[in-house]
Amino acid sequence: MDLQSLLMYAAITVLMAPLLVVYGLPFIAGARGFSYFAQLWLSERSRLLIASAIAALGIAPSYDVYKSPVPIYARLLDGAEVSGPFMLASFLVTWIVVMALARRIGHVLAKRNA
Amino acid sequence: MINRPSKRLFCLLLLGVQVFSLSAKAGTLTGSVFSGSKPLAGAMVTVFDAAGKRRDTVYTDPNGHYSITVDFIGKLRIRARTPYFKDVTQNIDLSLDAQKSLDFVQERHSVAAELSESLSASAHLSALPWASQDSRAAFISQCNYCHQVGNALTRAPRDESSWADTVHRMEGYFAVLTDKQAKDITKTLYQGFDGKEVVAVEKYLFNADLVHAEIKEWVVGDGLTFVHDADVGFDEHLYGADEGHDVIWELDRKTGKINEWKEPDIDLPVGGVFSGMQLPIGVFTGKHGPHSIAQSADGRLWITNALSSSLASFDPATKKFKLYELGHSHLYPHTIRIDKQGIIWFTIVASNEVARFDPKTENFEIIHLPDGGFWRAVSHYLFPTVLKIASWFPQQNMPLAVTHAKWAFRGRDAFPFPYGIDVNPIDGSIWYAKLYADKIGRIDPVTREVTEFDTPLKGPRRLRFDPQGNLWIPAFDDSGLMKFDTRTHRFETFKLPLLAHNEYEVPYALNVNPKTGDVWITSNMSDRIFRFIPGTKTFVTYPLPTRVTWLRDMVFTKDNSVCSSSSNLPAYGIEGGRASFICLYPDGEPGTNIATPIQSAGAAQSVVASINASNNKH
Repeated sequence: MDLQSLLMYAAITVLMAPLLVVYGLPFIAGARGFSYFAQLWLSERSRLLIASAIAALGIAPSYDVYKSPVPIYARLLDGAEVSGPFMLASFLVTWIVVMALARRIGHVLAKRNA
Repeated sequence: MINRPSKRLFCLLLLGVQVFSLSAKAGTLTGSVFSGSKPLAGAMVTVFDAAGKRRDTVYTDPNGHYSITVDFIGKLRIRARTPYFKDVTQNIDLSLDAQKSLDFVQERHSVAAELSESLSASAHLSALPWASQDSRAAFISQCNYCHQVGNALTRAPRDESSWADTVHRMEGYFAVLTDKQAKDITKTLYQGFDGKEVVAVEKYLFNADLVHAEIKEWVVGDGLTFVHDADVGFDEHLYGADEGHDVIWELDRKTGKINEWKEPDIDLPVGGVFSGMQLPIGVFTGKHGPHSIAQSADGRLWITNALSSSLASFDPATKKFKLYELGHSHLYPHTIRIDKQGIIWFTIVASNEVARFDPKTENFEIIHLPDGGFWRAVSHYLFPTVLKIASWFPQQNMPLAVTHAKWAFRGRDAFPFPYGIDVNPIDGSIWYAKLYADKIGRIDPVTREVTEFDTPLKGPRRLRFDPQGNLWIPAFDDSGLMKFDTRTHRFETFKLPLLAHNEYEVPYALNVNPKTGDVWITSNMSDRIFRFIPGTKTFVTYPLPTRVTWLRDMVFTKDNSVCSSSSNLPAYGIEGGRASFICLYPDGEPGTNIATPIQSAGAAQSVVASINASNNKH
């Protein structure tokens, strides 16, 4: 994949991020629930890692013939095939992005509450 | 000042010169077309010039007779063509002022495959096994507006993945489909176009009106020329807007000379504002995309440049263009008309707008039409931004990845698409058709108040007024014609005469002859033109001699012909491989067929030639 294609996929993903989040809502809710219940027995760092991974499972995109992103889980439920290496790469990138965003949101909320 | 006797002398001289000129240039062919010993009525006899640039056609009368006078000579090819019969071609050498007799004997097709090959695209489409009415409707609306489907080029059997690639490519050319529709269309084309002959039961109607008619075609450009619209100038030349090559073609019908006028360059990439879309590769090689054309009282031609979001004027006297830029948020300027005050009005399809341009002040006024719901408003407000981002990635079809036509399952309903436009001759109001919203609308020329009406048939496309203020509207998606009385707000609908009950037509445009009141309508899937006579509410059908004839705007010339551009996309899909200007003279071309024997065919009767699938084993 050349740089221009990579940039285009990035632009498409950013534009379509709200839709990915809507698709991922059940997973995001699950991640929030996990984070809440696990605060007694896991450190904040561990909870962030695991909760972000749960959310990323519901958001990590795969792309159709039109380059349109739909979460991998939705595409698998639809009966489509997604290659293993692509799923892993998409999940890892999404996990990192979700983690960074969660940290950022956490900081902003903490500042506001202080 | 010229006195009366001098005037008479001048007129006689002029007449004499014209008669001499005609007789000097013309050669005449007469003869008959038979099937065995039986005369064939309505056979099309076409004369091709040696260079393959001209085609003149007449129809045989009920006795099988024809007579045609052509203004080209030399080695000519003459073809007799009748639906359901094998073509017969003969070559002759026609000299100046010669009169020759040439008869033809045509055999009825007896081999199923050959008969199937000769049938129109509409017959082949009738074989498609649609599983869903929604997908069939989407196919008619979205896959037939640039070209026929089912002609020799497009019905070749392919595997399913190849059809998927094709459908995907067409979406890059602005076929707006949901994923489900795209999949259904792919599957149906794969299953339906399997290379087997089609079984068709068609009804070919011969009408006595055909006897007088003549059709002239002038080949223009190359295999990738896309003459979207044609208009007739005050000089009686035809001007055609070539959307693929940023060119205005000018045809002098008297001499057959064709000139090419190139629009000035602009600081945009190929594809203009739509450079992020794939667009028809190899065809859309320009930046402006000249689309629709109309002439103002001062003689200038006004052209909507669909791809560069601009309006252009072209002065036929000086051959100079001038550009007026609209701004890149106003997407795809489309059909153009001019009112009695000289104000230029045009629709902007992808932005749901109508533009008003005053040539005196050179100012635009943009009228935003009613959105018609949330998703169509999304199109209006977000599409320009999406296209801007898409232009960073040329020809990659990025908008298809983000369009709500797909992810919100809207398909073509995501866009309202204001399309045809015309000026009411009674009160000067502006009327437009909203293609995908199935509406027509009125703009008050003074207050700019907009009122919309739902149409009873789907796919209102290029509408036109008659002199009484009735609005005539082709129903592209429903093979129909609508009449809207602007005083009573009542619709009347008419079904187009199909060749068979399970076929369809896609009438793109129509026009009302100001002298006769007849409504001329394009058919586009069966290589025919329709003339609707409002007084009797009947249709006259003119079969056209060239297969894959796809016509757009229709215009009338002073010598009583109705003209258009044959603009199937791509042009190499048209029989002969080239686009053309085409004019149909319902009463023959003045000065050529006046004394033909056809005139004596007063006993012409309607003849129905029908074909029965089982009887003919096809």
